[in-house]
Amino acid sequence: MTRAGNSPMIGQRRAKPTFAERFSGWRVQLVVFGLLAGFAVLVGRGVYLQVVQHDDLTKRGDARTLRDVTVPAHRGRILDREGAVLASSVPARGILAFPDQVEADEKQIASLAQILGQRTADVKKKLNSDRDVVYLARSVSTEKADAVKALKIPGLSLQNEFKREYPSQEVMGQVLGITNVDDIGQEGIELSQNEWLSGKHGARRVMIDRRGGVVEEQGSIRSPQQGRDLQLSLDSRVQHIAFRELKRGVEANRAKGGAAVVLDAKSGEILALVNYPTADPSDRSAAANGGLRNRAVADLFEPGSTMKPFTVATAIDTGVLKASEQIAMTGGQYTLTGATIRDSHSVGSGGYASVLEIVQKSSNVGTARIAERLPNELMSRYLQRAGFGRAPQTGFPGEAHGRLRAAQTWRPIEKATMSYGYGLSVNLVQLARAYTAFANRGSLVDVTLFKNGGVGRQARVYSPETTQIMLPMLERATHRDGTAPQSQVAGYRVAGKTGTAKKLTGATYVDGRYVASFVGLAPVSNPRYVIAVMIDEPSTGLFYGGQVAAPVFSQVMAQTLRLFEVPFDAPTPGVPGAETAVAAIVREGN
Amino acid sequence: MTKVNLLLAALVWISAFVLVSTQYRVRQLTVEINKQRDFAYQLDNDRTKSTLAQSRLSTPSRVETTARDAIGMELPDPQKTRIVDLRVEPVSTAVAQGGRP
Repeated sequence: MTRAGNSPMIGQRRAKPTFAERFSGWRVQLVVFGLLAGFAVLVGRGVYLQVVQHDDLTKRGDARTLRDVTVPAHRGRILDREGAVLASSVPARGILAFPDQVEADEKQIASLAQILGQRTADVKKKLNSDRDVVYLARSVSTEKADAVKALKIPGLSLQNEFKREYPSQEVMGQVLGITNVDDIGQEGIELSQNEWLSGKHGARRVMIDRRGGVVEEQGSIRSPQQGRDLQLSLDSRVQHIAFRELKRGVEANRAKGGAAVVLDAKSGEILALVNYPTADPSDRSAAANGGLRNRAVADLFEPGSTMKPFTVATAIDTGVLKASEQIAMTGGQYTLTGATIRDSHSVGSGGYASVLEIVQKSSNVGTARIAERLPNELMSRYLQRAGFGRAPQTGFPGEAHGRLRAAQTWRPIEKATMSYGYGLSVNLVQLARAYTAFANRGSLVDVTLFKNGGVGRQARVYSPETTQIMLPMLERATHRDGTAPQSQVAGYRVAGKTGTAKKLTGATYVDGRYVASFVGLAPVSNPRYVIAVMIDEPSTGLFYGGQVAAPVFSQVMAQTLRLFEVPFDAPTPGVPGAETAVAAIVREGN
Repeated sequence: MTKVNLLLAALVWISAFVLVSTQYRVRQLTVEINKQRDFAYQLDNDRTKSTLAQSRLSTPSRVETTARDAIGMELPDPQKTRIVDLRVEPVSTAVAQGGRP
């Protein structure tokens, strides 16, 4: 049976199906739909990742491959006036431990403790800490850090740090101060000049590979700023001389302590500023116990007789006193509103003393009688001009201002005692600065701890004529019949004044506790240096400034003058012809 | 048209090769730069340490201690110090005093 009507003829080719015919079957449509749906999902996912999650994914990618690396910047150095390094930061390492990750046996821990100079038990305690991260040690040398690294203890990490080194050790300790473990100034110049000295770390972005090695630079985030060097006015050699002699003076007199200042009288630069006892700034524990307290600028004391020249100079400058006058000494004691002022020794003769004798032999009575002629406001104004009652502004932190009460509150007895150095307080730098007025033809020079190129700001206190009158008086105080013959320096003319003040304990002055001081200048023909020395509570029985502080002054001044090759201006006993030679040198303009 | 396509394909291939090669070279140089940077840092540190060591060795107190302990030098005692005038006397004065010029 055939179906000839509908069946194709045998041998006739079948027609090619159309596109619609080909994909018209439901199976095919299902597959196509499935593919399109899958494609749509992929596109959607792509859009989601590229658009919606783009930032997040970028961050995660960068976190795996990009690192911000710190570019360290060191703290600036502190130099002396000749460029010698006084403080410098060297690379060091902090040793960090992540206690959860630390895997170390007993032997490794013992080695670690030995390298770090700690007890094994202490190291174990830190490694067993509950905290995520602990410091095992800070500011250790790179050599020690390398030794720690060689132990290959998992969970330990090294951190780049700097350590401050002070080559001059305790000699400069109280001036320079200290920094903390983060190399930030904590005391002294390190603190006051922290802004200048501090460096600022930089950062750069890098790409790292799987092993953490840098394979590509991504650019600088910020440039490092190295700390700037700081040049002080101090001279290491003078500082050493002053420290050695002060130490000797304090120990010889079994004193509680002492301080000394050496000033360049022309520029006001501080060439040396020493204290004893002192501490090595490299030893932070000593510093923490107050060993770095700079007594010369931070501590106040009553200056005693070193104030007398200012009273006399004020009286001469204002015309209320003539240098040729004779002052009535009233038997070596003077009663004023119920209180009696006494001299410890006889001054003058026949009941009178010259102004020169009053300064030379340091008469309390004579000075008080001169002060009586001065109105309170006038005397106060002169003292303020000479720098009393205001901080010396050397650039050192924690400077004491000193005490100078308002003139309106002075009672007669108070003015009298202030005229010879009681009832007001000063720090040693302040006192030394005041004496620059005598060294500079009446002008006070601003003192500084920073090199100023030999030019210091000056302010007139007394007329040149007054200082010309005062200098011989101060010079006589250093002669054999003065209060400080031990301040003399062979080959040079020296002028100065002693001070011996009882210490105030509570509200009373106690016998046996003194502050001995001496402030002087040299050479008198052309003063170059002012040196102030203070010895606190000498306890060998000698306590006068002329016995205790003047010898220190003499040694420091002699060696300083020799160091700077200052020409002689005084005849030298026992050397034939020396007097003529010195006279010639002086004529040559020295 | 075929030739242009082939040329473009070649350029793409060359560009890809150069890119990979350059990238590799950049990474090599980056590693080298970092090595040199570390070396420079190390040299700078060495210089700092050396300067510091020099300062430590030349402090006046160390010089004085060494001079005293190693070669027996000591500060002159002011009492034993004589100051002498070393300037040459003018010839005329010497002659006037009976000397020979």
